[in-house]
Amino acid sequence: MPFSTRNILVSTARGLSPGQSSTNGSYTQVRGVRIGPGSYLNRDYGLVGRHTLPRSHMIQWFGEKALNGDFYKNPFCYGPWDHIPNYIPHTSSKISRDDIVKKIADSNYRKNVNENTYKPFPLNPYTKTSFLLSEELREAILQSCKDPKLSLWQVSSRYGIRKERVAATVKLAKIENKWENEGKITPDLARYAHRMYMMMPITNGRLSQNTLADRLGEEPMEEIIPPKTAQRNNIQIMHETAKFSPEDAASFFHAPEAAELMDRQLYSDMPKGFSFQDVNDKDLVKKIKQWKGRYTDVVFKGNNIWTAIPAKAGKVGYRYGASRDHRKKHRKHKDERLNI
Amino acid sequence: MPKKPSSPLRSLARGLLRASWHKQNLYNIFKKEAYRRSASLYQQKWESKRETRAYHGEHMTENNWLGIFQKNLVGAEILHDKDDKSGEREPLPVGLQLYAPIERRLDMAMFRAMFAGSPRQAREFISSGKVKVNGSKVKHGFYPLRPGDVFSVEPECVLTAVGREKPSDGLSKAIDAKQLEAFKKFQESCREDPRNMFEQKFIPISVDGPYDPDQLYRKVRAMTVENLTNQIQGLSLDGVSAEELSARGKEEVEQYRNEFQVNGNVAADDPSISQLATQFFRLDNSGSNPSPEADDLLKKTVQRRVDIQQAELEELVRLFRGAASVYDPRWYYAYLEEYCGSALPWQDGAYGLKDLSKPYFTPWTPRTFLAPFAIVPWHLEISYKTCHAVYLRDPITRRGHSEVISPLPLYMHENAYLFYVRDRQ
Repeated sequence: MPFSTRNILVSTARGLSPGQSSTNGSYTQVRGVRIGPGSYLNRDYGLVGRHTLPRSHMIQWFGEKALNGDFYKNPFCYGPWDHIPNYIPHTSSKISRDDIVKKIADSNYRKNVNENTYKPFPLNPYTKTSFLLSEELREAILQSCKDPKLSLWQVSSRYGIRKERVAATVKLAKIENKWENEGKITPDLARYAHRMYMMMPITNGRLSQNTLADRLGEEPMEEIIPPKTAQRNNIQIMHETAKFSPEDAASFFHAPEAAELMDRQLYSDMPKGFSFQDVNDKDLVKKIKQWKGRYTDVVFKGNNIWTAIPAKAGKVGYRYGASRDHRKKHRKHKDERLNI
Repeated sequence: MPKKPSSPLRSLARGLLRASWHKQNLYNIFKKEAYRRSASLYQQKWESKRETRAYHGEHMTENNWLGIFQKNLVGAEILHDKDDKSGEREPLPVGLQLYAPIERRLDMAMFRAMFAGSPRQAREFISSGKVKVNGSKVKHGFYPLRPGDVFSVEPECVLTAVGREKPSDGLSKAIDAKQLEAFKKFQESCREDPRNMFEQKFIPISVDGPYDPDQLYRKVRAMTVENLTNQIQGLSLDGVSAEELSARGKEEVEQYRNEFQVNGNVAADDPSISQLATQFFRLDNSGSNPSPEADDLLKKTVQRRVDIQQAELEELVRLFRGAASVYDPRWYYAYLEEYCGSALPWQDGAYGLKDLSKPYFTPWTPRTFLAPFAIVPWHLEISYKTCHAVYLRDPITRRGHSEVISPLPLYMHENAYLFYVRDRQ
């Protein structure tokens, strides 16, 4: 092929040196390379070939396409089969993107498993992946929940897995058994489940603490989250002259009011499962009316006391026209003025 | 209704990170760099809020989010810290608890369990009645899960979301035609220049050192099962004195142990090996013949070792199918023999359309660029076989670890918290 400037430009636009063939695949970014007669326009819009500059960078990063459209040379294209995740690597910010991709392509990279292997995002080291229970561990847990039947607490402390997770495992195993018996697990579904299991990191917990995953997979058991009552401040600073009623105190502490508490006390005094029908209830009715109001009706029915409080007829809502129409509130003011 | 996206979700110029498995989103995550722009505090807060909200509950309106926003963020502490070294402790990233309430939503939990490619797709599945919580259908993505809830998705939806896209008829035909053409070209070039094609096809990438077919051949021959069993059976113990025997036995046991440990299938303190040592090799010098139990044990152990070797052999053969033999100019006849049955030798039916009735690529294959998003959440227990999951608890934060999954750094979450907490005392 004759050597021409056009060829140089095409190859550099793909991020390659002139001698290189495009099949090698490179992720180098080349800035400001322009091709074609309208190049003076491309400069203004930051275009490389047909694409914008950022888009051309992305295409370079994806790399070469296979016949079926897979970017088969990209290190993230296919999932792992060995339970070691293939996340974006943690590197210092000085390393270029090309070097990161080269680093992943190195065969020794995946052999070197450390804590960072299990951190999916390089910017956030606090996000870590959990681990699936390995089939051995899962079977051991199910077995120990069955025969001899151990308590959740015992199982969880034996294998280093939290109680709720043990319970969930048992629950899901039951569903799986049921599905298998009913023949609901299709070949495609089984294929999917197996593929996901192979892709995800797994742990043996305390069953065998050989690998790093086994140690990391053990969940912290002695841990406490402060309860909601302890999360808020129970001291309020206020002025001497400020009014502070028992009702205010109740709302501040998110507690029931004193009157309600006394109400509860009243009912709690009564023996449970007690029938009122054979009793002279006059004293009781008197007491209840004291708390609930003079015009309260008190009905004894079985083991329960029902109190009916008369509704305040004139002061309920603003229902003038249709029930959904609340836009006529202003009429109320008119009526009030007339009353005066 | 979810929020309508006001601009392209995966814009390269904006470069916002989304809760999605899209490959363009992966590129955005990959190229994201930690920076702290020199700007006013409010600008920093606004920017952080914009970045974090683009990932956490992007499909929610701001009012929806403020409805579940919690002012108090708490972290978990270890109850009995035996060796209290407060100086060496890792920091408690409480700021990352900011978006924990969103993780309670059904659509977000579905995304975390990898039953949907994004919360938006999860919401589609939910609203079309494909999702159940505790056995009853739930039609709202915002349904708040409580600890112990079991949610399930119809397997077909999950296979569609996690699997490859089903190709259209035209695309499938085009790909098949391309592959057939490539295959014919390969055949032709094999005939023309067999040596060159052989080297191209079978250059062993995973084997260290220069390519040497003879060496490879020797290695594969040495690994055959027959060889191995002969070798093990050859350890006859007749006519050997007791002292010699024990010494030799110890050596053998040591050798076995090392090999097993390398293979990773047997723990260091496997009782079978030590029993083997004491009984079969008569380390205690008690009996003249090995007991039947010890014999059984040996057989089992040998069988296990043979299995391991068999697997390795298969793997090697799979890798270098034709290369197991030394180079022969007619090598490709044997290679092509595997593919001579049907019109499309490497697959059943058309590309991706083996079963036309299914909405996904058949036979089922995972989508590409899934690996960086394959994260197991701490607050869910998942059964992939049945597409069920249990919501264990609300995600919490502890020292050096947050259960809320986020690609964005801690300082962004803290700034976003400062943005939301103003005027909400």
